[in-house]
Amino acid sequence: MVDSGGISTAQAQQLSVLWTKAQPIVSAYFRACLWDFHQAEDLLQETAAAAAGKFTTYDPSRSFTSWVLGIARNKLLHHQRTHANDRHLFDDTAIRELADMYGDMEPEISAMHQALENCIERLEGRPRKLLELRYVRDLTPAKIADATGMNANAVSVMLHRVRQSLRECIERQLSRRHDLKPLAGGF
Amino acid sequence: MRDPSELIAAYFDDGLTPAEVIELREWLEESPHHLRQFIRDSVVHSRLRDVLIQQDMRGLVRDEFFGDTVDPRRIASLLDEEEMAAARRAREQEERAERQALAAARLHEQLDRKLMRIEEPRTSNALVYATLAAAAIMLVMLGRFTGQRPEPKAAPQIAKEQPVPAAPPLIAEITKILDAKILAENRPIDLGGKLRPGPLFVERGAVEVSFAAGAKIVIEGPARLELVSPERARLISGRVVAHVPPQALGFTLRSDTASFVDLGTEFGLEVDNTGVTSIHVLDGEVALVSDKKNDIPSRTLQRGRANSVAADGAVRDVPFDEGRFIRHVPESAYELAVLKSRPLAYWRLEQASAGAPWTSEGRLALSTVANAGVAAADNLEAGRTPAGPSRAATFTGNHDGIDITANAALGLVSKCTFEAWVLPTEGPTGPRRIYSTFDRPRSGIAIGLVNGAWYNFPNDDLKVHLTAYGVYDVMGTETVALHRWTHLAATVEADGQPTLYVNGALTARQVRSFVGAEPDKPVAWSADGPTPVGRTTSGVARIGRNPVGSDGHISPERWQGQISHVAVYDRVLSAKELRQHFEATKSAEIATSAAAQESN
Repeated sequence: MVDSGGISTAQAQQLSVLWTKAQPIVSAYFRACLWDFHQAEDLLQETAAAAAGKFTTYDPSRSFTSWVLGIARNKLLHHQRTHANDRHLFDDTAIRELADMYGDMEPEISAMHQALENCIERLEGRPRKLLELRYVRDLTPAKIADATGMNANAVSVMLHRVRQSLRECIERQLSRRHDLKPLAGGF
Repeated sequence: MRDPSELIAAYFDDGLTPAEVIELREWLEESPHHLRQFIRDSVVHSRLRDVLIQQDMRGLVRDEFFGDTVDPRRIASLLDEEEMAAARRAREQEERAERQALAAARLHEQLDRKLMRIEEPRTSNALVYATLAAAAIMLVMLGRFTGQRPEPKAAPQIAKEQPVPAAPPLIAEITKILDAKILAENRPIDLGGKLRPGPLFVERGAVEVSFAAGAKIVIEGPARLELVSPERARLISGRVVAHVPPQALGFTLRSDTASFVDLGTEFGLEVDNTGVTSIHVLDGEVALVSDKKNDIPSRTLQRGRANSVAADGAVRDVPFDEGRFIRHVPESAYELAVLKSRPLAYWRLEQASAGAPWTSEGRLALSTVANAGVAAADNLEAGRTPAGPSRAATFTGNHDGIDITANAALGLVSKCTFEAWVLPTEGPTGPRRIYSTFDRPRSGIAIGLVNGAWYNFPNDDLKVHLTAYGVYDVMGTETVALHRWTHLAATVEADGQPTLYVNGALTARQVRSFVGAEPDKPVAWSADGPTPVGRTTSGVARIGRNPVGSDGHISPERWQGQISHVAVYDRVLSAKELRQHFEATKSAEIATSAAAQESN
């Protein structure tokens, strides 16, 4: 069944599966270029919508992630032009370059994402709560400092340390995977 | 410029100044390699939100996280503001749909966890969640395209934690003690005792308390504390050192006027009897948050800094004093007694082996190394009678003693105390130095033993011997036995007056003074001779023999036998203190012999 101006159910399912793999990469791209989660989320939604709308033009022989990153890149370029901000870290050239790089680094980034899930699981107590305040409740370090009576600088330092140790855990996991010998006969 | 990784981290927390934004931008533009590094550095930050939302929906604010510094109602209103500010209805609707799908998947996840030990990357599960999450968003989007409107589902209530009234939880345990008397909630408690929130009084001794969250504190009696939670405690009076490993980051010790939040790893805190709090950062970094918020900003202190906080909240920089705190529960009561007297330098000599350097304890951390001919002696193993240190350094033959890194503070020759445990063995007649600072002829001071025959006395036995090179010799009249452990000490007043102690008791002495002596004429010994101050040195020192000396003409005067627990103090210890040191070793023996008597 095909709706006029829309896509078929079969195509929707295919898009859904492809989008599953691409979404974390595109999300990472936006969140790196726009440190504000809300702006990044908005652009992600717009990109998803645009991808759905243009899906009939997608060439299956190409990488889907790269294709979507192209759409994402244009959304970001447009966003930067309409939100003049002296905190923009990336000019147009850099935004284009990054879109290409995220596409190239997709396997590496996916591996890091998986490792992060394992590493986060072992995190408990105060450091985990701090991350939840920052990333789930979206409190800035200044607001966390306000709420706890801690020094804002201390909060930033703690966040940096916790992220650092997660990063080190990821590196350890990834280097271990390269050392894994192939299991004889699978398992 | 700051390390790029630090700038990137600050960028994600919105902490870059406009100038730093430019710095970072320029660094990124320098090379594609930098861009790739940026991408890697940003992975954790970009992905954390999704992973945390997936893994634990209940990880919201709980009161105990903030303890007693913040009004919980204030946090709630703060969060409400955030909710309202982030009023993106469409996005919230989509998130709810996502959560519902995830909630269903989590049941499967919990079952899976029981089946699979999670060492392998959970590829399939991760993909399932990601699929559902992404699919949820996509389906809503697609719904729009196919003309359907998403049904607003009833928002699932995020279950609030019900406060469960229960007995106060166990938050800490007593993991090490030495010669301690402890009261928890006014009841005596011993090694292994578990602690709940409440008062803790260490009347004497040294106690290590390990908190459930991972931090450890070493308390020097007498001290009073109030334990609050696995991550918080309050020091009311006395001295405490906190050791905080990475997983317990944020452990907070507070006094009445300020809180000290550990950012990793070790700091000493003292509240004296005037209510002044002092903090000395021994390692890592600490955030000091002053309670009286008049114009006194919070600050971060790094290793080597010390601050005092007055009762009115005024914060001042003070000199850092590393030796002020007892950082570990000592192995023996003697060691505790020595550390409490705050030695300038202290060498336990339990692990001396030629060639392997170690660091002295006390206020000066001096690199020390044993030379050839010096070895570690394990007296328990050899079955020797106790009543002495179980481990010591043994010096034989033409050894070269133990070298100490020179330090000007060791050059003192007055207002000082020298102390050691020694077990002399046979050796050539002459002075045998335990500790010496002779760095050139007629300078420095040395403590040791000497046989009477060296000075043509009829009695050849070993006696305590203190020499202020070129100024005077002092000898005790009491014999020091061979093959037995003896505690020796010597103090020198500000005017040069020496006092000798054997086994914690003052001993009579004779003096031979070179003041006003004619050259080449023998100098007589007498009960009282002038004992002016000797000559200070550059701070070269050795244990077990004289240092080599700048002109090479100083005779080694080697020690033969064992030496243990050498301590140097930059003040005169009282007779009472030295007696207490000596008695500290006897307490164990007294306890066991009393028990033996009772059972007879």
